[in-house]
Amino acid sequence: MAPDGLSPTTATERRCSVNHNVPSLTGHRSSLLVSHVPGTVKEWGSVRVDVAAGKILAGFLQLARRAALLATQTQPSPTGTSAWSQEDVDDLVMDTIVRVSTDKVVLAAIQAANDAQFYAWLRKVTRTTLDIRSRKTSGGKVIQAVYKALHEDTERFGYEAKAGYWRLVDDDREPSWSGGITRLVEVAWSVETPTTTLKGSATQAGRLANREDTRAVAEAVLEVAGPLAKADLAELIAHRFNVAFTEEFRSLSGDGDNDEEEPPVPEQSAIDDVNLDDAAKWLLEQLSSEERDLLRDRASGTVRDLVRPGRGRSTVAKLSKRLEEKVRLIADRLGEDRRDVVARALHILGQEVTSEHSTDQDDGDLDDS
Amino acid sequence: MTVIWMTPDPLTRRLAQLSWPEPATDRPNPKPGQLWRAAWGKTAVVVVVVGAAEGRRVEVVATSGEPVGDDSTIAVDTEVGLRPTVWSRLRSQIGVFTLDQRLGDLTAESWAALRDGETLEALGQWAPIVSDLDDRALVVADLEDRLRSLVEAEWLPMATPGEPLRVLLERSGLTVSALAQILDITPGSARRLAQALREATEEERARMAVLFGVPADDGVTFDEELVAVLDQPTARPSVWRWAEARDLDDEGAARRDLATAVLALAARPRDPRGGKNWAALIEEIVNAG
Repeated sequence: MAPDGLSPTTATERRCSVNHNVPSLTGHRSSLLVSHVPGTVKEWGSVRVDVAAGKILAGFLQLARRAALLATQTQPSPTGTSAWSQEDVDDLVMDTIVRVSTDKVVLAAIQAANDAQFYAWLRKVTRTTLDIRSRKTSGGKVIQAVYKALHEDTERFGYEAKAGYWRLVDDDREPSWSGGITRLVEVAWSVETPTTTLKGSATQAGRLANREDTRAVAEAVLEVAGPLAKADLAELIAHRFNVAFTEEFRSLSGDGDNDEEEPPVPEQSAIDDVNLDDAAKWLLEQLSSEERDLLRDRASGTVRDLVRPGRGRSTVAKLSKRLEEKVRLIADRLGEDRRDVVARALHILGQEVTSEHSTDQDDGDLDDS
Repeated sequence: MTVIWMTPDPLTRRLAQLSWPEPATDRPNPKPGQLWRAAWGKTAVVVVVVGAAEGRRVEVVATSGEPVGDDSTIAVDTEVGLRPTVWSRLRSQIGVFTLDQRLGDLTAESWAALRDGETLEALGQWAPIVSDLDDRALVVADLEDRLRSLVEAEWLPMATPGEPLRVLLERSGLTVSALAQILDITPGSARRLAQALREATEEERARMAVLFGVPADDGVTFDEELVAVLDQPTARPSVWRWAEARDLDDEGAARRDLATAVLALAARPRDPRGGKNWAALIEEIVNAG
């Protein structure tokens, strides 16, 4: 028996027509006709089982350190060197656990079906810690992004530095929004934008789009709410553009005059002037890792394998819808003659897969098959 | 919390200074207000039991460890330090047998808030999801998939098309011994098959279809009370021990195999004083290996 998860099923998986009657147990065969999905077999010697019971043993330390080492492979150490010391790695492990909180670590172990799934979660939250450290997704970064975007268009947006409020230039209302965040989040989502995630973009197209779309959403929100505090507007922008953030916005400053981490947007650039590679990379930046996987799988034509452990029917349907919508929005922004962007994006994805295989080779023994 | 204390590993000492929850990890009868891990196949989900078990099903609500929600979610507290986010609109009836371990009980305040429909939206914390491009939509889709796996889970034998094997044997005049030879199994195994005391394997089904010209239904059913006992979370460790002893990777197959063995044991002449104590029979046969 596999000590960790299931080996390929030996269960019968006969598919019968589905009968929605309640199973009858009075000596008659059950009338509930569904295919037998392999059941759960107890895991023996599993790190996940220990953590799920609140036991933090050597196995967990090993797994957490392994996740941290993998996440840091392409990142400079806190001291700026390429090599991470054991202390650096342990600090990252501690920072991650403190950031997500211990009860979430235990919940993640409980929610995982096996060590492979728990390890995937550890890798994801460790990478997020690194992203936050590098200020890619922190609240302060969002405040900066909003400042840069709105400050470019002083004909539409005005900033009251003393009070810390953003307003539309032609809006003379007093700051008085008391309608809560819910209504404003809905307003933010009513604005259709090809930008769906507001991380720092490495592409000219992305930087152009980030600022243009931030302005579009900000305008819609400010029209409804009137003047808003910079932290409130930034929080709404973060909600709208799926930015993972854990810091309290209100404790942050940052008007965008420092920490210029991305190249400035060229003046008088139009988004449809960007080259094919830039546009394709921008498309890929807007995709989550799950969407990239699905795009690869669909391109390879393996429709049957789209549904698999960790990616069920609802998830595939949702990812497919999101993928189509994101491609449509970006293609619409670039113009009809730029449909080649998707093909180029697939080519870049293919090159990334080759590169990732060589990076992830040490994870072969935590296969979730 | 259990932590390796007396080691020179500095990370261990740092982790030990944090406060860690201590889930209950027991298997009582499920009751409303309890937080459970439910699992089947490669799917696991943390759920809150919100209804009393009805027959083989129990009503639950899905939770997530992610600190996100929508207008239907509420963060709840438990008496063991876990603080999941409950998605109150993701509610389903799942098989009782998919419940794995109780993790703890919701605090009285949290259970009252959940029962009364108080949500984080009412507290102004999470807005509704109005776009598929909202990443929270993926959290919902994932929870829907997990719940669906548990709703669709089943271990009872499936009805197969075809005529009852008993009828086919009578009609053909084939003896059990002859059936044993054709299927290349022992006479005892053939007899159990003919008496609907065990399921036919895929290979046996294929051979019988050729033999009789039609599919054969082995007709295996299990006693309702036996099923009820095996469905309980308390039976799960016994099922796993049985599965390990027989090198069975699939819990559904292990349950059917165990149920078949228990039925065979129950069919033997036993102490005439008592009725069938299914729980005791299960323990007896599992301990016997």
